[in-house]
Amino acid sequence: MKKVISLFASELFRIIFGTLVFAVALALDFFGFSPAAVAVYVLALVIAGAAVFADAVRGILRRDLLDEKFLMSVASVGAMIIGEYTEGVAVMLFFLVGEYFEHKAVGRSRRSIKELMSICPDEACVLRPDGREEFVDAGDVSVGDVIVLRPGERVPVDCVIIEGSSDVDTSALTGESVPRAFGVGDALDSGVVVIGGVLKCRALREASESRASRVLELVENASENKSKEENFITKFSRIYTPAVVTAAVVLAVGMPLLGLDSWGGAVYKALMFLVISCPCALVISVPMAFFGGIGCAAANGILYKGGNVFSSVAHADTFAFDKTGTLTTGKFSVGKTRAIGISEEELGYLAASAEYGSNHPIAAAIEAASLRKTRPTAAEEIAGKGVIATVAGQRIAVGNAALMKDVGVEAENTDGVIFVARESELVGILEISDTVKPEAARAISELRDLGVRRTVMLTGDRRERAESVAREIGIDEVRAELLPEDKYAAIEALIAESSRTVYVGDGINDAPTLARADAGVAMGALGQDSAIEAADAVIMSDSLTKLPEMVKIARKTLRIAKENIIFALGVKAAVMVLSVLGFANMWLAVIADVGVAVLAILNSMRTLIKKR
Amino acid sequence: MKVKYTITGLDCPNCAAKLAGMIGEIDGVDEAKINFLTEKLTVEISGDEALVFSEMEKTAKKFSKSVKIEK
Repeated sequence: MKKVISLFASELFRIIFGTLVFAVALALDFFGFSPAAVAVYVLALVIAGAAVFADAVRGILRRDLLDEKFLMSVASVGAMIIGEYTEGVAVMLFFLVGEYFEHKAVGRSRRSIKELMSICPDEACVLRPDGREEFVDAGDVSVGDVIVLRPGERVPVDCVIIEGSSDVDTSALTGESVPRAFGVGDALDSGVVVIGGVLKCRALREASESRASRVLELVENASENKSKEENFITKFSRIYTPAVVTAAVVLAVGMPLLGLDSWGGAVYKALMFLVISCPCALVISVPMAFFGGIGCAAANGILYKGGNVFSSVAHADTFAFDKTGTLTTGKFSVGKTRAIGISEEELGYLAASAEYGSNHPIAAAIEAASLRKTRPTAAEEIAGKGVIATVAGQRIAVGNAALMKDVGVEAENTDGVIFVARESELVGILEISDTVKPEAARAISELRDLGVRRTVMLTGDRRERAESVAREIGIDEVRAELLPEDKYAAIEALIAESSRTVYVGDGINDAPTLARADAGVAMGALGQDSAIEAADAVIMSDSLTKLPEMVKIARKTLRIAKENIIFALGVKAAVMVLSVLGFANMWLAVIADVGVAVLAILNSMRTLIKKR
Repeated sequence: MKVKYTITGLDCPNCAAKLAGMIGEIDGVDEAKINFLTEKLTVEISGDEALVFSEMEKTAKKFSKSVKIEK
């Protein structure tokens, strides 16, 4: 019984049944049974519009006279009263059909975005201490539980691999399509997909605290940080509806009084105004365009923290970059070496052996630079200076000038250079540099193609090294040897000279700069809460090619939002003019209202299409 | 206490804002926000949650029959 009731109440049923009764009325009218036809017209209107009238009454009860359903009710009943029966029913039917498609379109957009964002699995397979495997809700996994992941499965909670190794597809989080190899001891973020082997992992966080949930939350909250366009629409719609309704009243009363129209004609025109007085097309489609843009960006590993960031990124003519970890990988490698009195090969051997087993990133680079190395018989790390080790019975010191002084070697303090001494004799100099990201040059040139006029590197590094990196990847200007507070000042200066400035950093000691820029973009900041906090957008992978992509998504979203604003307002203005001049009828008005809304929503869905 | 609900059956962001305003006036609700696109109702509740929930359902019915709130 309940099913039957809900069937009768459904939108589609009201449309179909209402249309059938409407057809009967039209037939009666055609064959000249006018009084009967009128009764059937009224019946059709009641069938089609009962729910709308009910909501309109609810609107009146809360003194909300500019409610869309109230206006539609007035228009259709008004048309009946002035004897335009066909149009009265048609207005209501068209409105319902439009609403029906509108709901469909909104529902589809919502589903597409959800699909794009379906990175949280519902279930997890937990391995109990007694060896039993048990499927539980992802939300019920506790920290410390051991979970089993099989190929094709999505990681339900942040965890660390304790057994097995596998290729992992991180594209859902980072937008990077190339799988990466993970092994014991590596941490997996929730949302990534295991594609190779079977893994046992220990849960590090509960599902709600895990990466995927936090990404989703960021994206959902992003739709609350409204763009300029969305705020414009909200303000505009507050003025638009009252203005059009007032115009309708003036039209209905004014034109007959001035003798320009009959009472019936003027009221008919006024009713048309009421029909197009709802700014629905805009209030739905514009926020939807931004939401789609945010969703599309997220699927590409770019988290926009609000629609308001789009315009800063789309109109930016200046991009400033942090160097280490942003333009470069942040991993060190040994560049040029100079051996003094020994062979290059011997220098590499001595240095690598002295640094053998050290955890320091520079030490690891030196160790990795030589294939031949032995474990030192003794090694002492001196914080901030380097290491002194015994290799093959000789005392080897590897470190900066201060360490050289300690072992009695003269050396001039230079950034990015490591000295190697055997006993008390300088035997070599190693240049240490961090490697430039391979895609950096391409990313910069793509940004330039997109109209970015000025690219600037801000770094604490010494000038010579910074300039060589800048030349290598085609950055215009270098501000070197900056302290963190100098970066902040540099960004302020750039903002003053540009239309919009984007700053790209890794969030390590440049959070204030990220916050100050027109748009602060944190890169590869998956673990950095302070960076996510300070930035306006977060790029979840390390790839710089996400920057041009980010600009393209922002521009496309803004363009679609603007198209909708212009299209919707244009059509409505045209219909208003036509109706005053007497060239439009009620049907056209309804199409101008709901038809435009549907088209605008469909247009907004284009923001979801991602180009690879 | 912040509680999130799923809210469906709203026609447009305008209606969502209006209903959010009405829910915000319920006793025991400090703040109510509706995100039309994600269909999420976020409420800051200071009173009894079950009581507030049933009040919210009543308010939603007063607004339109098609609106549904779920936990």
